[in-house]
Amino acid sequence: MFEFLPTTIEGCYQIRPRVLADHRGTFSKLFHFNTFSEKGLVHQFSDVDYLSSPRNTLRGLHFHPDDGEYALLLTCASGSVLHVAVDLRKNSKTYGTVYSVTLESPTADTLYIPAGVAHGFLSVADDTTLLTLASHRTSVRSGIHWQSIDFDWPVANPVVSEEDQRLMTLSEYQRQS
Amino acid sequence: MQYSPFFVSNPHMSVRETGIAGCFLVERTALRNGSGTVHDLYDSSTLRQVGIDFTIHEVLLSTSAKGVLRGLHFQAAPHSTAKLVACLSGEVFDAVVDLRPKSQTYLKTFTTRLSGKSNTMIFIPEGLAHGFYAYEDNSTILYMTSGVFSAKHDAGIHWNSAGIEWPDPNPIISERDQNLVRLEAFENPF
Repeated sequence: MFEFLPTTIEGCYQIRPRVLADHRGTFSKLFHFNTFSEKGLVHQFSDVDYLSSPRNTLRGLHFHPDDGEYALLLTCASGSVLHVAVDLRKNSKTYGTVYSVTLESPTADTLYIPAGVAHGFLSVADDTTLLTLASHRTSVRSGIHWQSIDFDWPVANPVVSEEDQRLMTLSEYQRQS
Repeated sequence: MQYSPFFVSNPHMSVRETGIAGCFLVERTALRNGSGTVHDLYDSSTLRQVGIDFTIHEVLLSTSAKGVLRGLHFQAAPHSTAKLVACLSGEVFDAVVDLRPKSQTYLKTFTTRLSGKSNTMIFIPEGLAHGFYAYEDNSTILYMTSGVFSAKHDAGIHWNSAGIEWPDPNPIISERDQNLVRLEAFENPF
């Protein structure tokens, strides 16, 4: 039903659904409770959002504390998204690793981000929309500044919210944790 | 599952009855966020307040060209599923029919427009058949279901047999959908 492609970050997957296409359009399954459960992945998702972002909008990098019960599933429903993830889990074999991938509609590839991994994205096409499934709604969201990680963003001046622009740097976060 | 029979409204969502027992239109507020917008599609704690309470078992995404009709589908008991349906882009004519013989609204139909520009979703309880017609190219529909797909229980009735006034008498349709049994001839699993 899905291909779980490993990424350079432990526990973070690029999930490829089977897309059925015919003369009418396409049909794909993005999430299947039992399959995720059997795979040992987080499978309770109680918050689904849909984000529209004009081209060159950057959001992030956000993360949820590593409690093992939280995960984020991200699917590009239209346009194209550059995802960037950073492993902040000190006990992880891939601690500090930066992973990036561009996912675009209509392939419906989904990114699975576990707790303790920071995630941000840049919309790289007009009318980009991202579907997000989260384990639960989190009011306390932590984040690190997009420019403080070892990554060459393809744009110099993306549109970033004030809130995200004020986030601490990766090294500030590492010092305090 | 229990459904709240009254109109509910709070700053983040409002729920309207459709005339079919347990079937609701759910309207959510789109929030500006930075330079874009965020639409809440499913938030378990808010939905629970109106009695819509299910664990998401599958998330399905379909895109359809203009003129495509898909339906009318349901999953037969005991594997029937409830679902929350949202249109993410384009615009569709959405239709449901109540197939529960014990329901006060048995055989009643409800139709509505769902659009990527609005934030109205439809909650479809177990025991209803559902279908839609795409008014625009690349009409994208998202389903969040309360149960997993079961090939054995996957079923449907012919789109033009339930008294629904579709916007197009000659839609683009799959062979499977075109050959579905008519409402008057089907064996009711509910």
